[in-house]
Amino acid sequence: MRFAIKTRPEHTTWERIRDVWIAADDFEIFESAWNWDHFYPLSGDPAGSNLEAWSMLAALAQATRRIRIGCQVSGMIYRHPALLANIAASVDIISAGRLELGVGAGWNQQECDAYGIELPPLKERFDRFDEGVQAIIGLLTQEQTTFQGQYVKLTEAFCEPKPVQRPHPPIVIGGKGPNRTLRAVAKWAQQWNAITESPEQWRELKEVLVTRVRRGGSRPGRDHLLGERPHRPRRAAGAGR
Amino acid sequence: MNVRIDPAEPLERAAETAAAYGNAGVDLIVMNLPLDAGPEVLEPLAKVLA
Repeated sequence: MRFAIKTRPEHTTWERIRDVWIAADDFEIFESAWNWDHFYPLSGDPAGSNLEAWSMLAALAQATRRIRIGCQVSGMIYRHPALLANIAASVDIISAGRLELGVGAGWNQQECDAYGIELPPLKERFDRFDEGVQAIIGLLTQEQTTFQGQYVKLTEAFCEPKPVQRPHPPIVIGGKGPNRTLRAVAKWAQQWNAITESPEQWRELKEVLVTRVRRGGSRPGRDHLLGERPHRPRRAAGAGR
Repeated sequence: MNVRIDPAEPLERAAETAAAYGNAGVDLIVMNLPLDAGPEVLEPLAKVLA
């Protein structure tokens, strides 16, 4: 069993979070450190402070040396997938290949209402999410990407420089919907993250996931999702500190 | 899987929850630190998880 820490960037300060992550870097038991991707606090006064996820990750990548870093999880509704792919590639480079790319479909109605961000009905939201993940993988792995989805369209698109981790940083998909979310995990993710009400519920969902992964054939991360061995991306030649 | 650390409870409680998920097959347990926690929480947490 591996352990990680997560710091909620709400009602706190940058200095506080930075100091926790720097300290965690020295505890080998903590494999990774995570924040979240929201703009309003999820608890207490919504007018309180909440630091932005990817700005923090870039700075925390520089402040740490060992610990893997990531966001649980980045809402696909908040950024165009091409923007997110470019951010992720840069943070992977800044961190010398320690990024875990956490993504989810998004859900926060309050933030979307306040900022005028479209939060589509669930089916469309997951359709958009599926296209977004495919677009991100294309941009992170291919010299040029052309993708003609219903919602995401890329035309001979570049995303340079490429991330350190190859074929791309591990993709962590968050959520516990047995249909759309676990289907997406089985197709594209190297790690699944869910918050369940009990170990029994987690085990039931894992069984659904394993069945889907087995049906899906070989791809990076498959063995890890099946619990057979850890996923270890390759690193680009000459990369790293 | 995320395990939230309740600052009103001893750390051992969160470690027990983590162990229960580990026994169910979870391979990565993310310990959600208490709100505005400082670095001093890490050493005792590492000890109860080890």
